[in-house]
Amino acid sequence: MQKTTQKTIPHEARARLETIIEGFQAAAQTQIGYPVNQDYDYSDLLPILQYSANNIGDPFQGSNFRTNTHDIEREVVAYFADLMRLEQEQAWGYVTSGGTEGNMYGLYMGRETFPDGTVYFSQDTHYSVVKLLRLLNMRNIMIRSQGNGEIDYDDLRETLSVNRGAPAIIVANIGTTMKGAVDDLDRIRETLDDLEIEDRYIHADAALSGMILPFVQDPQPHGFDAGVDSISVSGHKLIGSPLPCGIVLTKRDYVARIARSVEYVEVLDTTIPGSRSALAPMIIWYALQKHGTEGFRRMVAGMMETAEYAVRRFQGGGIPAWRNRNSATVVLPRPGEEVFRKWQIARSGDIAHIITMPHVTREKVDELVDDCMRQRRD
Amino acid sequence: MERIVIITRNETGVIADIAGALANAGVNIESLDTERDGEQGIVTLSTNDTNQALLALKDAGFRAATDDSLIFRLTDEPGALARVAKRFRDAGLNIQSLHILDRQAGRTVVALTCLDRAQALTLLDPDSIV
Repeated sequence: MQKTTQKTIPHEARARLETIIEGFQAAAQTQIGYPVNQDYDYSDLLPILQYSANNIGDPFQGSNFRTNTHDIEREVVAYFADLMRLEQEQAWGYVTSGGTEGNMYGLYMGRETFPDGTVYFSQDTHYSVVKLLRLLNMRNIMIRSQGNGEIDYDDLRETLSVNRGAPAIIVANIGTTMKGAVDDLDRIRETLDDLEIEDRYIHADAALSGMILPFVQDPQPHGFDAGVDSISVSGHKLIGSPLPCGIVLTKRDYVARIARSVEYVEVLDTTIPGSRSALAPMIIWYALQKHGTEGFRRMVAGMMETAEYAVRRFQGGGIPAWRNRNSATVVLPRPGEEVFRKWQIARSGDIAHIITMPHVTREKVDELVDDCMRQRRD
Repeated sequence: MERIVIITRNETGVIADIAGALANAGVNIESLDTERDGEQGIVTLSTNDTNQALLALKDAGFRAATDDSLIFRLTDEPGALARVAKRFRDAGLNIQSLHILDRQAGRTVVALTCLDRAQALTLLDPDSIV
């Protein structure tokens, strides 16, 4: 393609760009506390950056904007539908800007289904859900969490029983942000059954664990076969991506409720944004091609082994670290500021965590444990 | 005057930390009250700039809420929030949101929003309201 402008950026701007890249390289070495896989190479996709690609509209409806990757996006949705045990004929979804947009879509769908519904979510739910509830003006009640981060089922039952006459919209965590806890979808469903609450909608926030549980031997219930109506998974977390992205999945029948026509591009747009990234589906698709299901299975197995190793190393050093079943999130008492100055570790109140993503090696774990022990001695 | 309620630990130096955070942001404290309940500390204050104060407190790591919500204490046990919800339902008052702000040593601090604040106040135990 012939370019009409070949002008480059000024010397000072280039120097600044190099400084940013160097800063990123340095920061990546100590990134151990956030669930982003840094082990990837998407350089094959660089030629796409020459084009103004745009996935505006519903990926299943087609678009007049021809430089789109809707076909690739549909393949990504189909792959995740299999992972989440949703029949292909029933599957609808799209590649989002990240987990929060997926949660927004799920809540939006819940509200359109049950405008008078009340949303129930646990104390350990990601803060963005509270933000979205305010944005969507939905009635909501927070439920206590257990110590391990899982929803308190007794509190949920008590609260639901008070409001049993009203529709219930549940946000279930499939891997909480700080503790990696998985809410038991079977128990939630049984509770709704016991209370004879038929008007129900369950959205699952499966940001990280949505890409873990399908690849472990004995997963907790996490998919559509466990009664969820929509699910949000992050793309930039376990898959790894240079830009934030995610996938939202729901049932095709539900989507008709929110169909709105966007006439100028002649598509039926059932997504939340207008213009959407055409690159994000390419990134996820590329990773799926590269690793395949077996590759992700190995990746997750490695993460679990490293997580278990980290728990043992911390405990061996007198630091009471722990993790939930099938979780790569290792929770530990909040270390001192000296440790935070060196390492990028997430913290909340009295606790902190590391997440043994594929780039987190045993050597890095050893170094962190040594730093924590040294700081405790000092 | 809009109040800011800060849920914190009952520890020495907390007030100095709050005052320091606000002073650094150029916010003046106009009134300040403290309450201790076991391990929990509740600081209620008003300032000359609520929005700036909230930003400064958040940056300093404090959990703060404003009078947009009704803030009250409960015993920390399953069903405690449900009983509040029932009282509101029986009175025909819709709760817009009911959030746990803090749980410590058997006590929960809760923030509630609804359309009719005056009626909501009549449904809560006056001693529980912060």
